[in-house]
Amino acid sequence: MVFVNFAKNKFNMKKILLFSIFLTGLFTVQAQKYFTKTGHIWFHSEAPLETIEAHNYQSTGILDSKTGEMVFKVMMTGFQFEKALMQQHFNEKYVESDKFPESTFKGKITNFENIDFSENGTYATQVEGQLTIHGVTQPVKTAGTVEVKSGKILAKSTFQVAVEDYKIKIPAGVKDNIAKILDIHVDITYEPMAR
Amino acid sequence: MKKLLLSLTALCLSNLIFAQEDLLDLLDETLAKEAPVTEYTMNTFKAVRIVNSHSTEMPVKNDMQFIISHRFGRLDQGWRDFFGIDNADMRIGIEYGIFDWWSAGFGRSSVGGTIDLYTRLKILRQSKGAKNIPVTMVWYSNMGFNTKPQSAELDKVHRLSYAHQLLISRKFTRDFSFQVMPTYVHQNIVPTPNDKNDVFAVGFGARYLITRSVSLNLEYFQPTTKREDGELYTGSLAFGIDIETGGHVFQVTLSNSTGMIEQFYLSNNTGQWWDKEIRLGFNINRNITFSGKKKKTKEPGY
Repeated sequence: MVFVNFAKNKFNMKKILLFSIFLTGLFTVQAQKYFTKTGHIWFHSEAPLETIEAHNYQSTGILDSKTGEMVFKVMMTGFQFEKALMQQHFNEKYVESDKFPESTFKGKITNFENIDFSENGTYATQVEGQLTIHGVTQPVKTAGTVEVKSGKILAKSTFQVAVEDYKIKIPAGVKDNIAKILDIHVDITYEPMAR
Repeated sequence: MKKLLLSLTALCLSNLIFAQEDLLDLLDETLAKEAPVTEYTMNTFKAVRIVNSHSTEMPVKNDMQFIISHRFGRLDQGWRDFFGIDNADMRIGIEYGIFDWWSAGFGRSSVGGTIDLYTRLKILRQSKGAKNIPVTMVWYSNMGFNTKPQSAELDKVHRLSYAHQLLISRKFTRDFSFQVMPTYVHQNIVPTPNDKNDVFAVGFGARYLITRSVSLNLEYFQPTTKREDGELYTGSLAFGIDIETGGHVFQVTLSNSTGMIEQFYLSNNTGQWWDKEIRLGFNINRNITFSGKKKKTKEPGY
């Protein structure tokens, strides 16, 4: 009945799309996508002279529980540093945010079959994918956890990147201030994607 | 019925497309529906000065800029006074960020032993996204106080001079920024009867980034006020190279003026470029952070 009414309406792609998504949801209960735009990603650099930490609380991402696929997108200017000068230099000199405004990750939870997204619990995960920073893409492999908690998914992981791999040059003058290898921490709470 | 069929087909098709959709594209689409955020422009200039003039960069809250500047004698004097290095005018000063948008500073110049007090207010910030503002705008006002002995006929008030300026800048590309500076200088006393107490000028400044740590700067002020004899005041032309090394910005300059505050390089400038009255100089900018901004930090969960 609903369907007939729908057909009487104007030819509206949006509605059709919405309806089809709704149908997809009906037929495959588990085919759920999870979304965040307030993900917390931060990095930690420990060098002889200085410890630098920068936090980004506006990381965005989608996790597809049907395929285990996950993507992230992070605006580089969104990283907050303890000192304003660090933030300026990070954007202008190191990651060149004007040229490469965002970093992305496209990957997959390789053992996602082990995760029951419909029930609360914590699972160890293996994640593999492609990380793009400063316009350079490198493969990344890491371990993490996924916690399913009343419909939300809490994902955590830590991994290391060598700044050299991403063609980020550190001048000799500050080599004791900036670490060659950074720890990257990911702490995300996904919510079911609103449809 | 036809319509129903059509929509069914479309439905199946869209389902198919949807299933094959790239997750990154989906993320882009989803974010496009969200309210846009404002993105503020950073790094319009490397230092708080272009050469002589202020740039629209200001020390952020609780940061202090410590600036030592020298302008040497005429380059064309050769070895006799070591290309002017034997004679130096200098200024030493600090500028403190009270808030990100409000700073205050003072300095002392060797010319006239002048102490200058100044304040700057950021009125606009260049941004795009939710708030689209094409330029950064800063108001700048100073007061100069001459501390050298003066003749008994003069009052204390004759020691004072003022400058007011609007700094309007735009970062056009990553490398290129441009600034316009309408300026007004008032001196309570002038050196000769030919001089005016009030001088208006328009300044232009630009920077071009040649490497990520080095930029070329150019600055020119054209006074629009004529002296009593009908001649325009001499324009101030200056080149600079900014070399940034972490906490310092070194600026090597070539200019035709001696003083480093508006009262000197606009109202009392006599150096003529075409008469080879060019002077070497430098500014050393040191940034000192008094307290790190307290950002909300979570305990690392890993």
